[in-house]
Amino acid sequence: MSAAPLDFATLRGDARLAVYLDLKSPYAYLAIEPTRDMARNLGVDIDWRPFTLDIPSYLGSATLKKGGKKVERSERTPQQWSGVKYAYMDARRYANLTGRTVRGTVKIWDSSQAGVMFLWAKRHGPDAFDRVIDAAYPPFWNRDLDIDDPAVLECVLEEAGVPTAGFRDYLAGAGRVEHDEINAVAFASGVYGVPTYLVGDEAWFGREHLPRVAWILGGRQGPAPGVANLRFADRAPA
Amino acid sequence: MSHDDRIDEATLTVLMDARQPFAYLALGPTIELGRRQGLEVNWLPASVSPLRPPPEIEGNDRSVAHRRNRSRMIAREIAVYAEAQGLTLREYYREGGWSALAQGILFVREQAPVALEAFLQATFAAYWAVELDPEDVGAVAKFVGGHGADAAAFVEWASNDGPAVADRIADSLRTRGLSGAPAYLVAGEYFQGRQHQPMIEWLLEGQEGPGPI
Repeated sequence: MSAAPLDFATLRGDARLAVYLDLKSPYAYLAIEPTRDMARNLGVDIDWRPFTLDIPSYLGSATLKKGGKKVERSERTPQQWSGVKYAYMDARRYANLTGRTVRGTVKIWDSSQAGVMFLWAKRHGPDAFDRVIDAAYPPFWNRDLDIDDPAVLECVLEEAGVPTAGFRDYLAGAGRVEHDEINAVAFASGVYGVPTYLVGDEAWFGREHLPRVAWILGGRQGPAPGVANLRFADRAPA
Repeated sequence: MSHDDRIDEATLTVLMDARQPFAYLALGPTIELGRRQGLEVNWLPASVSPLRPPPEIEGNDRSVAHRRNRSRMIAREIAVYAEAQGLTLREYYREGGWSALAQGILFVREQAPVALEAFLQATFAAYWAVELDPEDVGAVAKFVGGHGADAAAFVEWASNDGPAVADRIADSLRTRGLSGAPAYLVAGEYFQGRQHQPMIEWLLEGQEGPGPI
């Protein structure tokens, strides 16, 4: 699906802060907590949006054998492998600081159904959305969630206390259309990874830009900050 | 001059490539970090792939479009964060080596270590103002001489032992699997990118309190 590009402010729309995420990105997983904390400190609501990464198109593809330790099939260059291995190592050390688990996935998932599930959760309100991502990310990154299976997604919704009646139809119909449209417009406008933050007329990829996102949301007070992976939980509300 | 990489004994080793815009953006904050922590940073030259410009091919191919989006966002990041630091960076996508400047770093590191950070700042600034050819030994020698080291000795060294020393350092980094710039080695951990500075300081301070996430 192709779409006309939008400038970032138009893409953001009415939300003061829009954030794209994908279940299969460890960096999106790591970003959730500091993003929430930062937004809470500033009293800003987050418009979370699914953005399903097409990893093979830029990072090659690979499948691990059962058990997840040996590569069964790979179309990656040594440089791509090196980047992937570093990324997982980096994600793990930050995850370990908050007791989270990040196990390398055994295949490159098509996480678009999970993206549709996120949209379904959004329809039931921001609290429902929060509960769903909290119910989905930890088991997925512990290799305990088969997101290809709609029944598994329904279980996630049930665990999060989100109604499931009508979810299957939404997954195959309107939800899929909405997901694909969100992705097409975002990609055409310049979004390519997650987490991506839309704030003001700017777009930023990676949680290391949260200091700038917070600075913009806070009215650009003081000098512009540099990039940093920061903890926001213990920062005083603005 | 010993010209060891000193990685094993250094508290903090930082790998830099003058041609990498993010290395220049990391330079000032990393110098400040070293000063805050009261430590002598072990600066080493490292060579990374040059920044790739946005692909010129038009069309809807996903891979090409992804690279285009990524390149554009990286360019915006460089421009915005450079402005925030008051830095000037021109011609992000220059290609070519930087052997003379890399050797200059190694030479000043030995001959005038107290001036090394000023040397890095001056040469990186000149490179990004497109006023320094990092392959030109004579041009680099002027900066070497301006920072407390012997410019003539540098020219001689760069035409004799210098390249082999630089190669040996590069081999050492390769053997250790270190391929990034800016990159940091601290407490046995390797970090790529200036965004890790809070984590690096947390490690240097004995991991007191909750870690940055």
